[in-house]
Amino acid sequence: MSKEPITVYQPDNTLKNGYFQTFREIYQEIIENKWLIYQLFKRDFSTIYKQSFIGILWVIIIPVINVGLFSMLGHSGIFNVGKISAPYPIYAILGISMWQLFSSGLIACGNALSSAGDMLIRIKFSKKSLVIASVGRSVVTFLVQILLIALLLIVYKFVPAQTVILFPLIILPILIFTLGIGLITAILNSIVRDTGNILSVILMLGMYATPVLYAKPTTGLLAQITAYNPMYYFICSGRDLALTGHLTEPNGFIISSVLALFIFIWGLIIFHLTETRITERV
Amino acid sequence: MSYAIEFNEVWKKYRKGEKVNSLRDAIPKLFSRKESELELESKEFWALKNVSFNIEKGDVVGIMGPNGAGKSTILKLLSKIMNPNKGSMKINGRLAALIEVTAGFHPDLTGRENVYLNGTILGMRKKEIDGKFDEIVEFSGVGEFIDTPVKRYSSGMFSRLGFSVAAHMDPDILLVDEILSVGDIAFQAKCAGKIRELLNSGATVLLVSHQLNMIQSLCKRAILLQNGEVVKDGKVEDVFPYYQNIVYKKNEDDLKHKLSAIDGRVRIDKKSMMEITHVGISNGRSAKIEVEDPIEFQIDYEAKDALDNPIFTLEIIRADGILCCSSSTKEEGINTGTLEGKGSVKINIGKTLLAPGIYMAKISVWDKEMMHPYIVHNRDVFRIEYGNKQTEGLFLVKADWSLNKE
Repeated sequence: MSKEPITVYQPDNTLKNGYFQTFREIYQEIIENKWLIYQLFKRDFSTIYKQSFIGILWVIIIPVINVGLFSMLGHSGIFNVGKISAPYPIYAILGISMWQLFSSGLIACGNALSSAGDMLIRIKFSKKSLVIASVGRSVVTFLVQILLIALLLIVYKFVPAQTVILFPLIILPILIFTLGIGLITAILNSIVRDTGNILSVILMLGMYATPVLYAKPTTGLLAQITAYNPMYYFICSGRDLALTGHLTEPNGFIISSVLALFIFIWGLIIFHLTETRITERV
Repeated sequence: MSYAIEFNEVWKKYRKGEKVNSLRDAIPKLFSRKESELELESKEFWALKNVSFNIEKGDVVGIMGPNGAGKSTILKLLSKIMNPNKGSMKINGRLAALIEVTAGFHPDLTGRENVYLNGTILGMRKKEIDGKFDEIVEFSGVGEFIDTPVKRYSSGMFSRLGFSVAAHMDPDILLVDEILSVGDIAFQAKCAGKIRELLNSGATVLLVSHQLNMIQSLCKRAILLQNGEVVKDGKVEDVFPYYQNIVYKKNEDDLKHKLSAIDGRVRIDKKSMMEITHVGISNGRSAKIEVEDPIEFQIDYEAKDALDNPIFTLEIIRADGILCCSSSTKEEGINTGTLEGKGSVKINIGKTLLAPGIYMAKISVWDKEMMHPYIVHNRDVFRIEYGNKQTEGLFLVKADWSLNKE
């Protein structure tokens, strides 16, 4: 027989615990559920590609089509790409891969609780694991797209900076940022289903407002928005690591990373404090 | 003595209807600290009111009660899906719930993948599942289909696999909710065997069931709930009469309610020619009748017109609508002659040996050809009781057993 400890349940007292206690609970929960997170990730991943012929190749096809479209628009003068440091396809795919890590991760987080359905109110398990596992697919997508980038570098005979090996590390700040916002949207979406739709509108606008497919604008409203956009700093720094080896926005990157960490911690706390109440209200 | 489960003055409330009315209510509610207050807002009600009990390690306890008594709420609290509003619970050991055993399944994954997924969700470690995998598959009887997506499983295979995963958690405390209705008789027997095996290894079992004979055969102790409160807690045979009382009362109310609804539907052509003013059952003693008592009906009638040789019929109908027995003046060859004005009819049906339960007496008066009823009277309900013995079936038998050994 197992040696499980005595568990005591009282009225929801999570709100009365101190920060230290809350952090410890959150940390333990995540550590204990590593395997659950992996299982849930595997479930998400394999169910998506199970009945698909092309499977994971979609991850490459979609950004290639996107970039092709924007190259065409650029060539015909409809759309001004701006001053960039590499062939456009390389520049754009780098941007898209990082943007998608954020946007598809955020959408998956937002749906993590509301799509779990029955499971939430029928079984007790770690709900944070569900949200954390939901970003797994975006991470795999991103890793596969790195291969696409490598292929493009070869095709265009473009020599990247030596710091290109650090490029995959850009996952960390982006993921922390995504999870922070994602944990909160997951909760919101399970109370108000409109959150999902609002989120996709915001992400669509965000994609065009962020220099993903074009260079940083220097004037106008867009330039002002960009200055306060953490995703710009992540994407810009990621691109710098891969292409030039020289960070153009080091301060912005650091501030954005610290901000991301704060949002992540707050997201975890808000989620932790509200998750049981959510399951009673689903 | 340490307990496996302790419930200390647990209160839990639910809300009827939609959970929140608007966003403005919803978000502050998430953070409100007032949840534990013992006040009911509009539309809220108590699912559990001050419930306390302790269960010793290794005990098998049945939880009984009519629908809506709070049985599932107790299981949900124990399996940690919800928190109580007030009071505290203590659970000593690993707990497995044979409730909603397939809730964690994903239809697109194969049986094998689902065993791992569901096992992990239920709190098993990888090594544990690896070690028990063959046993789980063997127990479920899914066999060669283990690598087929579960969406192609029959519903029986589906729930058998779910049950099998949950049953192999080696829990210290097992919660069972009507689970043995899964699968065919052979599988049910297997499940009962598994539960006994867990019992022998010292596990504590909490059993929620409407099947009284199951509680009787497995449990020593029972807790009876009604409207969220513990009505009786003790030995199964002591709790039983209380449970029967509640169930009978409920059946009786249901039946009366149903009858009052039916009343208007009976089409009577020659209405108001005959009226039944009163029906007395067994000398008007309360409508409770001991199983051994003879039953007698007295019908007071008033014929408004001269009726030529009307036929009286009596039918006894069980609460679930089964016609148990009937009798009529026609079959008995009784000529009632011409009736006019007030009078009364007595029917003595003697000892019926009807099994304990709720019955309805349906009395009708027909014209002499038995083509049209003058009146159908079915408002009288009576109850047959039989100490605290539990009997199944329609009627009792005076069985005489003899055993011969060669």
